[in-house]
Amino acid sequence: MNEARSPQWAIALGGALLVLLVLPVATLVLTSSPAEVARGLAHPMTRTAIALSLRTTLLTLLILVLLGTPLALWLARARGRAKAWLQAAVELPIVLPPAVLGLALLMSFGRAGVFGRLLDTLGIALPFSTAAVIIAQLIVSAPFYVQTARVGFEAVDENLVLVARSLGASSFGAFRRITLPLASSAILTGAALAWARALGEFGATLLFAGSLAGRTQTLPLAIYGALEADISAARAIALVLCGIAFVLLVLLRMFAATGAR
Amino acid sequence: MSTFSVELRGRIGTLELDIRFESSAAITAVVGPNGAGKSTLLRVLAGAELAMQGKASAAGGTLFDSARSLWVPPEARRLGYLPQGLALFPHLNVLDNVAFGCAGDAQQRLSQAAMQLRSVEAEHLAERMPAQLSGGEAQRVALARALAAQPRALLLDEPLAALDVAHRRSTRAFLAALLRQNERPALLVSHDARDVRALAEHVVVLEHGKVIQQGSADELARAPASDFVAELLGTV
Repeated sequence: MNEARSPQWAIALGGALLVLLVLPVATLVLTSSPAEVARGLAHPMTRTAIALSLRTTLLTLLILVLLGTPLALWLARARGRAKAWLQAAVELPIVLPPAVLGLALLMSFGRAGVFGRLLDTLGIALPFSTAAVIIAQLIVSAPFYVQTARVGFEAVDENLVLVARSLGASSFGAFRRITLPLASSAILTGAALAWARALGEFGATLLFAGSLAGRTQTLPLAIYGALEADISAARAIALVLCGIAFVLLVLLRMFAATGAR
Repeated sequence: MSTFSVELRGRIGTLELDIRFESSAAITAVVGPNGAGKSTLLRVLAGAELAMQGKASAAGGTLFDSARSLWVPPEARRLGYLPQGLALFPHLNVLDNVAFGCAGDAQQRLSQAAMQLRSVEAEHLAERMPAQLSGGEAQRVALARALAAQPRALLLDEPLAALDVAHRRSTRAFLAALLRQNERPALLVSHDARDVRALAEHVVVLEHGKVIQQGSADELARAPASDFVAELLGTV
């Protein structure tokens, strides 16, 4: 072995940040007693929130895969100035604070919003509904999925696609049989990142969908709600989210390993 | 009857293309310095969606004709395209690579692919992944894959470039025999005079996106139109 060792100053300064990254979560996990967790999980608010979060995030993920995958492919094959503008549009929700997105959603789809009034005449009211939760999750998580999948598609040699077409595959057939399997680890990574982001979505949801138990109160909103009433429920929900995050981290490492093969 | 007829105008990056030639030879070689537009020409013929004007046909079939707003999609062109680097599908084994373009149900496609692999003496490679093949083996597999789809004509981009000297000669002879035996017209990009002389009856010279000379290798060697041609084929 002849690998260069990390410089000591980097370990000292970087280590300080690393402690800050891990310490609060470790404290949360280590100071919780199993009895407290069990009590928190049994709380009706917890179970309702878990069910709602799973339902909404999985639906968000499904819509994202169906519509985000074609968008990622479009971006990957776009050229020049059009590509730069498309990229910027997709990245907008990453740089905008969720509270701004929530307000923007209210201004457009709220009861008095520009499009909200139109929907209202059709008998559709989006704000403070489960659909509003999904819309908020879609917007904040889409960039993570689309950009990761785009990088995966860009890494697929265009000649492979042209050869597949010349061998008789249609445009969609070549995508399904060549591009998609070759970009699968990037797509799974993007889906995992997007799911994590959707699951953690708080700000835009609070503004646009509110915090109604069973309808719009997802896990992060339930933590916020429980803090005032029952801290043990808040901790239990937080631990559930920690557990999911840990599983996602392991999955992401696995996808990265298969992608690097 | 012409095997390849090309009239192509367009712009790729900084390169202005204006390529016109017609060949009735079974094997036509396209030669030229790097960046002359050789690979672009093959990609456009194979069906890459690049903004190009003009028209082209191969083995009697029209590929595109911008005056008639006709653009045949690549899957309907029936051309066996071997790009540089061969582009074997890395996630499929050799047999599945060759079966990709075969017709019929799964069973028929696999048996056709196996037969095609035998015809290029590569049946023992069927279970291997492309990453496990040597340059010469990958070459045979890519040829088998192209031929398995029953193409009207072949487009070969530097088919011998990846081979070392020892394999190059035997593979060249193999390729020459295979092309004659298949009786399919081929357009071959090469920068090696030995490949050109051994394989092609008609040579098209591309420089800076334009055809500067065409004819048999001997004709070109007798009266080279540029330093490149003289350098490549030598004067007789």
